[in-house]
Amino acid sequence: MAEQFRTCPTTGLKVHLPAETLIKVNAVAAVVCLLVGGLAALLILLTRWPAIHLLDEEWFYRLLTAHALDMLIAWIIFFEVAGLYFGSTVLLNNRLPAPKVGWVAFILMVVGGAFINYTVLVGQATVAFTSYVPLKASPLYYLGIILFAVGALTAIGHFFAALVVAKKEKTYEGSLPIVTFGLMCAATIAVFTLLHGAAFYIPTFLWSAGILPHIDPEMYRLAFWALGHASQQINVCAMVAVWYLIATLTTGAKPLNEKLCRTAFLLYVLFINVASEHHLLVDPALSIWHKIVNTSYVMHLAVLASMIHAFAVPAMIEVAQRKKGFTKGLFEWLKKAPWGNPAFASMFISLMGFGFVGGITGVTFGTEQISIIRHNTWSITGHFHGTVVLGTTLAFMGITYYIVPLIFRRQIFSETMAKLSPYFFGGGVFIFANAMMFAGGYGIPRRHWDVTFAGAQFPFQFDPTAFFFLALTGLGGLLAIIGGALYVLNTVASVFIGKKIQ
Amino acid sequence: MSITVERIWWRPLDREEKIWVTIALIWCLGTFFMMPVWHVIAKQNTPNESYKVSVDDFEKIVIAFNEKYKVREESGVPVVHPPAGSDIYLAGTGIWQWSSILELEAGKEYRLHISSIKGGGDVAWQHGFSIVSAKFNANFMIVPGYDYVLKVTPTEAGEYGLICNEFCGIGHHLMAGKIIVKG
Amino acid sequence: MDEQKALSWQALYDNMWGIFALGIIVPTLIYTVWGLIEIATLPQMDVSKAMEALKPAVSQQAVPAAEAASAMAPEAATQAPAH
Repeated sequence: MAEQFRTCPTTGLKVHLPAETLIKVNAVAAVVCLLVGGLAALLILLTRWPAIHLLDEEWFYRLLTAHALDMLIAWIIFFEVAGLYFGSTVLLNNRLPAPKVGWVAFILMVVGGAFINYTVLVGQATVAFTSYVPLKASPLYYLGIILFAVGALTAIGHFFAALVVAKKEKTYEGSLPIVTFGLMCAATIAVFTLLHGAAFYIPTFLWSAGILPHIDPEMYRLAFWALGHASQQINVCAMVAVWYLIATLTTGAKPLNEKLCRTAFLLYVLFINVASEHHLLVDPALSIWHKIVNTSYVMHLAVLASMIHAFAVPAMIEVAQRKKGFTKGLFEWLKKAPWGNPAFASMFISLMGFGFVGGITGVTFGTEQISIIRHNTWSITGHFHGTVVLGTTLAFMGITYYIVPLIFRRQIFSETMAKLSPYFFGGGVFIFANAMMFAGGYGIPRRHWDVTFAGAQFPFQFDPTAFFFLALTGLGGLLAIIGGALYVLNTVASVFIGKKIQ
Repeated sequence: MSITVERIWWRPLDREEKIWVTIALIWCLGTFFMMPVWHVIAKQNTPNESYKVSVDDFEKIVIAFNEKYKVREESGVPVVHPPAGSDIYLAGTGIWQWSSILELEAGKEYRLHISSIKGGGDVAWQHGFSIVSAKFNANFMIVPGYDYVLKVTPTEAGEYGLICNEFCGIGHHLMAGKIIVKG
Repeated sequence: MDEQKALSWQALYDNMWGIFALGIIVPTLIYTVWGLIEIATLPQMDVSKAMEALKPAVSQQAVPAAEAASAMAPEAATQAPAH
């Protein structure tokens, strides 16, 4: 067994070599999906910018479907799987009990992802991320999603098995470190998500194959969002775990009160998933009480959890910085924080962006009365780009700057690109998401090829101010895409031609 | 880098932590409390009345409704002027159109039933019922097999755009109609 | 706080399977099961009552010709954008 490990020269942690390989392949797959999703993003952006209106309607809706799946599901879950392997092995000086299972999971996810992208790009699955029945895609599309989900569930099961092994073989003392604990909570949320996914994707697959005669659309909506929104809650939990990791790596910070932080993660586990209700607030069939209890994350208790993390992470950084001597005035600790470190910059912008742009709008849009005025408008799209992109994606980009030297053992190819990327990306998405939200306030719909309604039966015109915000969305989006491109190019270059670290 | 946790990490919160959690908890419970309260004190809330109905039955009703209250046509779409206080019916169709142009009277209440019908197409899709205008936006889901009853009282005369904002296929972005409110 | 009490609380938080079980069961009950029950038990629309109210009334059939004729007459201004 001894040859299966190496000792990290920087951290002193034992790295299980088969686990390390799995971390690498999942991280690479993640970035490939980000690239595909990002290219789609550019083309979609240039289409919804009315002055350019690049794609025709067929390709717009196809790429919109692909963009959502490659980003919300593929990029993020591949990256999270890499994170799960990291948290259950490297952070615990532990081994993966069954690397072959890890490879099965990986292949299932890759094959599933390939089926999904293929069917969507050839036009057999122009159903949007939600594939709301009775919109129907080819059975291969649903099969692709099912395979991807089974692969992810396999990797998650393997993660839990690794935790059991670590405890049995006493590779660590006391409680799990907070990062692994947070990832464990994310994994629990993921099992809820993926089990619900199976529960409706399997019947829907059978329906698309002509075996089942009917799928009830409202039950589908309820079940879909248990996958669709809950998957984003995995991302919240994983993102927060990554914040703790980056805070420690970049400033040496430690959680000030583990009880507080872990309680917050537990509140996530219990209550964060029910906010799938956000999508159902103006649906028939569900009662006001089902809507109120669920959309509020059960009395906003999961929101309390986010507010705890939003306090705890900056607080622990402040304490660590003050210990280093940055004690002048109220904010020297922040001014003298390592802003030139791309991981730190990414983490802090992610925290601020997730909180102020994504999180607050999620909670406010997630009320029935505001949903009446905002449901299915572009405001919703602005909200979730604030959470998933400005929040989770940027945090994941940030930790990459440690994965590359520590796991891939390559130097970052370009320090300049690394330093600029979080600011371009963060700034771009900030503008983009806010502009979308303003546009949605004028009623601009989401998932819509032509808001000028050219060729519609009845002429319709939005308030012209909305078009200013459409253009602003375009500009912010371009800035974000530049930032994203810097990250992808830099990461790919580092992994393949970066200087090897011995 | 040390990532091991202290053996005993369960300990009381510091003063700042206690203050923050207290403020945050009060805020969270307060905003939650407002959710049911708003249903009592506010003038606009999500409706709580809906029924199951077959797609074909709702289409029968819409056709009968359009026939009974039709006053004219615009671009081939019936303009329908129902009596105040009545049950009125509007559907999104499988050919990406709205089933009628409703002509309502300001200050009067109506029971607006919305659902999805085939209307000449093969399938009844999900749609987004989205009223858009300078002064008023409202969005509700149209789900085939479900009748969603909105109690509506138009307050201002004018023409209100009605678009679909739930992706429903290739004709989605052409789905535009209107609701007319007479003073 | 005494060490034993602290360690017992910590043990609860260290209970991976307990957390996992709660994390699956609690939201499944509050969101999924409750929601499915509501959807499944939704009452049927009274279609015949609705159709009854939409039947053309007997008296209305007497007036048809004149009313219908004026209703079909083209309106002068149909595109008035009145915001």
